[in-house]
Amino acid sequence: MTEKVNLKWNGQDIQAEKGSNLLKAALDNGIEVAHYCYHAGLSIAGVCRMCMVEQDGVPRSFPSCNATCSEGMVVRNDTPKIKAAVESTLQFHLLNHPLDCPVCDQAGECGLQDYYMTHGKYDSQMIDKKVHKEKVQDIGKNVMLDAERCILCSRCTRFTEEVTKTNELGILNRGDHAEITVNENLKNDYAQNLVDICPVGALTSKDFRFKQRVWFLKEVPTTCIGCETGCSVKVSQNKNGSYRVKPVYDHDVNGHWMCDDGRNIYKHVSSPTRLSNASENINNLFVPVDELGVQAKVRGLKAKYILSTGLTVQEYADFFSNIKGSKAEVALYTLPSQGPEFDGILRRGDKNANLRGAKAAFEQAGFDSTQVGLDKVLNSISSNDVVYVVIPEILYNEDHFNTLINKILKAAVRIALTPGETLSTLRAFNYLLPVPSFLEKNGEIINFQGSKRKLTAGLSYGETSKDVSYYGKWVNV
Amino acid sequence: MILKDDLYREHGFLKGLYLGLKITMMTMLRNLFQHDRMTLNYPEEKYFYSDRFKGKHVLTVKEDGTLRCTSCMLCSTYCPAQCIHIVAAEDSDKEVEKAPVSFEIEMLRCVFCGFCEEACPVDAIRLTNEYEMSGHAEQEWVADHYELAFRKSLNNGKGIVSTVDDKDRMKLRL
Repeated sequence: MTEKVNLKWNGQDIQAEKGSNLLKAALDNGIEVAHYCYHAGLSIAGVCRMCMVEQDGVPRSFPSCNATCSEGMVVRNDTPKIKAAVESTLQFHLLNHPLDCPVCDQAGECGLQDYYMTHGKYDSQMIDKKVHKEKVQDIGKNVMLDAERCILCSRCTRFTEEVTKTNELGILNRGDHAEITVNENLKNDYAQNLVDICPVGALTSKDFRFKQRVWFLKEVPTTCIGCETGCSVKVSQNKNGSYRVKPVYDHDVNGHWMCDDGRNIYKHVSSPTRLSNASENINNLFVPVDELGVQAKVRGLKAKYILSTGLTVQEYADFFSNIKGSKAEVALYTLPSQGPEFDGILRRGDKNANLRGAKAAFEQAGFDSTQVGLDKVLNSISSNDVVYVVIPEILYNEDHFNTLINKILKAAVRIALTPGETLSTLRAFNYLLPVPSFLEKNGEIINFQGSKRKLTAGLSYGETSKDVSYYGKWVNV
Repeated sequence: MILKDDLYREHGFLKGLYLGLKITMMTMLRNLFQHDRMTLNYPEEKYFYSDRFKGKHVLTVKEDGTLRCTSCMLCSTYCPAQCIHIVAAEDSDKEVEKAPVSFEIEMLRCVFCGFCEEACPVDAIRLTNEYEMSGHAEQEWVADHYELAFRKSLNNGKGIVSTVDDKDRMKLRL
């Protein structure tokens, strides 16, 4: 076990592990310390000089990110000497800053803006011309680089060096001509983390570019449903739609990062082609219809359900408690694997977000959740059946799904319960019913480790209910 | 002229009636034949407010005739009536980078407080002394950026050039 040590920061007693990072100890204890280059997921660079502290008995001030905790340390960063040092440091950071906050996407969550309010000098002492560097560089993988805004904290170069080990970025030249340079366009699958870790507006997302200002957005903490890893994420949304996905630090699952595929999971939620109310298929056109009318159509037919692996544990439980005692047959459609089983960082080939939760629920209710069970149900479909298919939220492989749809064409009524967009594939169905997407329901999914991951409901964009009974209510019509 | 005493009680009914009507008739006659009166024969006669009047908005343009606005959304953020709707997009010019593709003000919602003018970092929106606005359907009251920048009354449809142009801004960037 690691030993705990007591130290004093600005007179406040804090506890930290012996030998751990001094700046991290302060940040963990809720003390605000200005910093740019330090990132808990990366190595120490000590280049921004914003986190300077003074220690009793040490003649010179030093950056706290490069110091370790030891027993009885007395550290201050509120002395006049340190304040003057941080002010001058920030002045240097801002010397060549282009000040294009009105057009910069980072405005509102920018480290320069934040610290300027507390440590700014306000009067420019610059008499020389600013050094201009290249703006608006598309460096691939949805990342835009603006070299002018960069403060050379080197977080991004350390990320490509240490986390993805692809080394696409580097700092070339010296002095105020130093700038982030791209050796080759980004090629790693975690590139958009660069946008998150950049403390200023130098690296911005092309996907989010100019869509919204960040102060109009609210963040919903939830879990990524892109694969079975189940990373902790937050989705930024407002009443007009969802705009981006960012990772949230989770020690056990994803650490600080998430993959680029996970950045797209929000797109169907507020898409204009999202199914928002119950629809009937009339000559391949989907026309809004009353749900009660659909219920009258399916009365008396034998129900067969094909669930997806995207439901929450609570939804499965509610569904199977409804199905108890009825003659309905249930099977599970599992998404096929994509790519390698595990890419070494986070992403997994198994794209079924809640496969373990589904399997447990099927087992408990006595249904077969395997491919054999699915084939059995598909082969038994006859002309007095009604087939309900829960469409997977993200269809990675539409061809694979089409083979399933081809097998249900014999049924009298085919109903799709879809949380996503109205795809052309859905023309095979007679009725479409909207169900909540992962961003519109509260619940839990079980990830590859078997641990429960929370989904949190944000805003709703269609006429979907947040009640978990949605799937079950079609059992006993 | 303010009468302090009750005319009837002081002078009796008939004299009080006469005195009261005398004031009314004098005022009427003065307004009929003298020309220093306050009322105007609107719309034949029009009142011109000073440039500081907060009337209909104008979007300024650059010297090349494009909108000055960079769609930073500060005006729509500060707008207490939430009547400004901007859609931003990438501009082909790298120096401009961001420009609006749509800029709409709901005139019926606007309270003409002038906060948008004060929030704007680039002198892109101003309130003018234009106060004549009329319309029937609600749609007519949503002013798009063609109307806001290039309506007939603004420099004959060419728009008003902002005081800080991009060229000047580049010069200011020491």
